[in-house]
Amino acid sequence: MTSQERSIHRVTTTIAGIIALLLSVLIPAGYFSVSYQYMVGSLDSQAEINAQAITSLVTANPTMWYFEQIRLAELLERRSSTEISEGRRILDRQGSIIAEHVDPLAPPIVVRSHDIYDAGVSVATMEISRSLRPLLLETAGIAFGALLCGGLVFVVLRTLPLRAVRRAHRSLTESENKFHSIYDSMKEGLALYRIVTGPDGRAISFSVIEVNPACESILGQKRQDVIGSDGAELFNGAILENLPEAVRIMGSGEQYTFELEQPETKRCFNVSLFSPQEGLFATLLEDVTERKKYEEQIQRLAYFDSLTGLPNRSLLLDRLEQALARAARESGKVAVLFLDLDNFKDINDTQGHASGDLLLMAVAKRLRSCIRTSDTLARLGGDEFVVLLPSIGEELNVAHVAQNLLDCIEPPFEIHGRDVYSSASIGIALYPEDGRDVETLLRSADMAMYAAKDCGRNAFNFFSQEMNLKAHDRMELETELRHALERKDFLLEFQPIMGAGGDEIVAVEALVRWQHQRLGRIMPDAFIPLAEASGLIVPLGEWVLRSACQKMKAWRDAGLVPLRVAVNVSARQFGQSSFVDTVSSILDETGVDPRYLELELTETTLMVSADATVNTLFRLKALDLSIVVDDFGAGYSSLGYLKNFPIDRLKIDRSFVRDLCNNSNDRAIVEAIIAVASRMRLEVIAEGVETGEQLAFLQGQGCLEFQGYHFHRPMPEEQLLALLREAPEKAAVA
Amino acid sequence: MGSLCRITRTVPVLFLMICIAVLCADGEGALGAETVRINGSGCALDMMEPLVVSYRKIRPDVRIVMEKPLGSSGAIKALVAGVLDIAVSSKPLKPEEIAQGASAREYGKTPVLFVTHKNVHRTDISTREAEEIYRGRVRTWQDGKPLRLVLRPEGDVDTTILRGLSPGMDTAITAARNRKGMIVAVTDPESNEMVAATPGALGTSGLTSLLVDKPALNRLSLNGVKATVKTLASETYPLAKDIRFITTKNTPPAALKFLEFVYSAQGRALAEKSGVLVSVRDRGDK
Repeated sequence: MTSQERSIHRVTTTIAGIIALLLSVLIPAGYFSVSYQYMVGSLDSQAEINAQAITSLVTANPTMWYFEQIRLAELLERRSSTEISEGRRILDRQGSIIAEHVDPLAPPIVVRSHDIYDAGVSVATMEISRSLRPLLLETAGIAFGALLCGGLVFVVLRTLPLRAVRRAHRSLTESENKFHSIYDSMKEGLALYRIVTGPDGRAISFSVIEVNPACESILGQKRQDVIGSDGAELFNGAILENLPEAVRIMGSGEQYTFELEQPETKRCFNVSLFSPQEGLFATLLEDVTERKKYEEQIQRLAYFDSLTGLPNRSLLLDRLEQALARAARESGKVAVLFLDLDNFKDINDTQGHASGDLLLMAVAKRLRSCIRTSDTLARLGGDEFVVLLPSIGEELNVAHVAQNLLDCIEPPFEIHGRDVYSSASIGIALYPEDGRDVETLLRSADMAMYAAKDCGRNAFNFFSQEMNLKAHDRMELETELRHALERKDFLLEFQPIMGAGGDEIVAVEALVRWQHQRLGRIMPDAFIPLAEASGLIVPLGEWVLRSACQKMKAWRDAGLVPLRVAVNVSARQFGQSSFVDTVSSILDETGVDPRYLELELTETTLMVSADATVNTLFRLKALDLSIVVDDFGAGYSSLGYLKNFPIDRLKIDRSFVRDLCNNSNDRAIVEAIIAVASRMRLEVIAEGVETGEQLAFLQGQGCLEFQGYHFHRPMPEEQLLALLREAPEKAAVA
Repeated sequence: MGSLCRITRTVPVLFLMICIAVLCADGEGALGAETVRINGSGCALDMMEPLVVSYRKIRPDVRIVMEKPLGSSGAIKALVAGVLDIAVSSKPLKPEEIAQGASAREYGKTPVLFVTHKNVHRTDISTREAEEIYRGRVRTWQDGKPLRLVLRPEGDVDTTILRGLSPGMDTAITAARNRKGMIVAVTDPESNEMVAATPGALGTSGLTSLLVDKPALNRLSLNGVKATVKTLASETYPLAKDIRFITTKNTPPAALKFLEFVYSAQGRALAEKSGVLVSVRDRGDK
C-alpha cells in the first residue's frame, strides 16, 4: 500500500467515523432533546391549565375549596390521555398534599409545577410529574438503532469509497502496467520532450524526458544517457528542424509527420510528432525501412518488367504523360521510338524460351547503354521496346539515336555459348507533329515500326514521310561526312587579321572547307552542325588543328615570318577530357611555336562548365598558346569569366560590327567591350569589318586588330602565301 | 419549698386559662347565637334542610351553616381540620380518618335512582339497558334523540353504588369513564342541575334531593321498581347510599345538641319524610 493509498484510507476512515459518530449521537440526542422539551412543555402547559382551573375553584370557594376533594380529584383525574403515567398533586404552601392523582412512576421523574392563586396570593401549587424512563428507554432504543445505522453508514462510507479507490487504483495500476508493457514492447521508438523557452517565452530548444527501449535502440544510447539531454542533438538535429511545427501543434491535437533517414544505419523512419499536453511534445519513430523496400519492390513489380528490369507499359505511359505535359508547357519536342526485334520469334521457336529471355535481357542491356539517363527505355512485352526521348532538340537527332540503337543490336549476342544475331525495326513518332497524346503517339510509332519492317527490317522509320526524307538525307550526308574524314576531303582556307593600321596582316584564322567529290566545295555552315550533332566534330576539329599546325610549320620552314594562326574549337571538342593532351600532342608532333597558335572558343563553350573550363584553359595556357573568345557579345558576355579565365583576346561578334554605323546601341556595346578589354589588358579583334567607316570607328575606339571583307575574304593557302610574300616585312613586325 | 414553688408557678397559668375561658364565653354570648357548621354529601345535606328548619324553631339561638356540599371525603377532612363541626357522609371512615379523631354514627340510607331530562319520555330503565348505555352501545333514546350521559367522579359514592349494581355495570362505567368528552358532575346538586339543563340527559340522584329540592327531573324506576323508602326497606330496590354523621371530640356541644335532635324521633320522622330509610330507632342505638 502506497503512502497515498494509506492517506486516502486514513482520511476516508476518519470521515466515515465522524459521520457515523454524529449519526449515532445526534439522532438519539436530538430525539431525547426534542422529546424532553416537548414533555416539559406539555407538563408546563398542563400544570398551568390545571392551576388556572383550581384557581377558579379557589376564587369560587376561597374558604372551603381546600376540602372539595371530589372536585379536585376529578380535576386532577381529567387528562387528555391516560396512556401516559403521570402524577398530579395539589400541595399547600407547607408542601402538604391537598389532593392527588398519582400513577406509579418509575424514576427518574420530571416535575413541573405552577402556583394556584387566591386573589393574587399563592395559596397552593399544582405539581405534575412524569417518569423520564419511557423517554430514556425510547432514546436508548433509538440510540441502539442509530448506532446500528451509524455502524452501517461507517461501513458503507468507509468500505465503498475505499473499494472504489482500490478498484480505481488496481485499474490504474493495470492500465499503467499495460501501458508500460506496450510502451516497452512497442516496436516504434517513442520519445517525450519538454520544450525549453527563452526569456521572451519563445521555444528555443527542448530536452528529452522519456524514451522507450525501442527509441534507445534507434538512438544507440542508454535511456539514462539520453534523458535530460538536449534534444537538439538527436538525429543530427532533425527533430530540432521541426521544432516550429512542434510549437505550432502544441495543444491542438494535431499531428505532424515527416520522414527521417539515419544514414549511419541506413534506416528510414516515419516520424509522427504530436503534443500530449501543453509544453510537451513526443515523437513516434516508426521504422519504415523494410516497408519502403517493400514499396519499392511493389513499385518495381508494378512499374518495371521483371525479366529485363526495364520500366513496363504503366511506367512508360506515366513518364510519357509527364514528358508530353512538360513539352506542352515548354513548347518542347518529344520522340517515341517503338522498337521490335525482327527475328525474335524464330529464336524463341528454335532455341527455346529460355534463350529468348536471355536475348531479351541482353538486348535490353545494350539498348540501355545507348540512351541518356534522362531517356526512358521500356519493355512493353514480348520483343517490343519503346524508347522515350523527352527532350530531343532537333528532330533529326532522333535518327541518330535510332541508328545507334540499331547499331548496338547489330553485334552478335552470346546465348548459351552460341552467337545469336538479331536486328530490330524502329518506328519513330514525334510530339506534337505525329500525335498530341500518349495513345496517338504510341500508335503512330507502332505504325511507323511496321512501316520499317515492311521496308526490309533493321531500319528506322519516321511516322512522317517528310521527316523520313530529311532524316535519310541527313544520314546520308553524315555518312559522307564520315567518309570525307576518312578520305581527308577537307581543306583549310585562311582569312587574314589586320593590324591597327589596317594594312598589315598580323594573324590569320584557319577556316575548314569540305571539298565534296560530287557537290564541290561545301561551306562550314552546311556541315559543321551535322558534324557537331554526330560527334564527327571531334575528329574534324582535331584534323583542322593538326592541319593548321602543319601549315604553320610548313610556312615557317618555308622561311615565312611567323604568323599567329587562329583555330576554332567546338564546344564538344573542348569538352573532351583529352583535348589538352591532343593539342599538346599536335604541338609536339608538328613542332610549331605555340605562341603563334590561337584557339578560338565561343562564350557558350566556355560557360558549359565553368570549373572544368578554367582548368582546361589554364592547362592550355600552360602550353604557351593564346586563347581568344570568339563572337564576344553574342553569348553570355559574363564579365566574371573575363576576370577568372586566362584569356588573351576578345573577338567582337560580327553582328555588332555590321550595324555599327547605324545603331547607336551597337556602337555603345562595341565601345564598352573595347574599353573593358583595354582596362583588363585584353586585346580586341573586330570581325566582320566590311567598310572603311566601320574601320575608322573601331580605330577611333582603340581597337587594334580587324578582320573582314573590307580587307580580305577567306582565301586558299596559296593566295595567303602570295599575300604574305608581298608584305613580308609588315607581317614580321606584327 | 418545692410545693410552694410549684404553686407559685401553677397559679398564674390557671388564672390565664380562666381568663381566656371567660373571654371566649363572653365572645359567644356577644354574638347572641351558637353556630354549627355542617357539610358533607350533597344528598345528605338535602336531607338536613327540613331538619335544620325545624331545629331553628326549637333553638333559634343556634345558627346552622351548610355551605355548598364538599362531599363526604372533603367534609371529613374539613371536620378533622376543625373547619366543620359535623360532617354528613355517605362513605365509611377510613382508618387514617379514625386515627385523626373522627368517629361515625350511622343514621340511615336513601335510594339512588336514575333520572332524566324532562324531555325524555321514559319511566323505567333496566339494568341491562343501563349497562348498554354506560358501555356506549346505546347513544340515543328510543325516539331517536341523543342520549347524554352525566357521570359522577370516580371517587364519588354514587359511582361506587352504580358499579355495585351488576358486574356488567361495573365494566360499563369504566368504559364510560374512559370515553372522551363525557359530562361529569362533581356534586349531587351539580348533577341534578346538569341533567335538568341538558336535553336527553341521563344521570343519577339521591331520592332526598328530589324530594327536598324538587328539581325538574324525570325519575326512572329500575327494572320496574320505583325508588322509594318502602322498596328500599323491602330490599326490592337495590341502589342506596348510606347517611352517617361524623364528629370528633372537638365537636361543640351545640352541634351535639343538634345531632340529638336529628337522631330524635322528630328528627327521624323528618328524615324519613325526606326519603331516608332511617336505620336508628332509639337514641343511642346503632
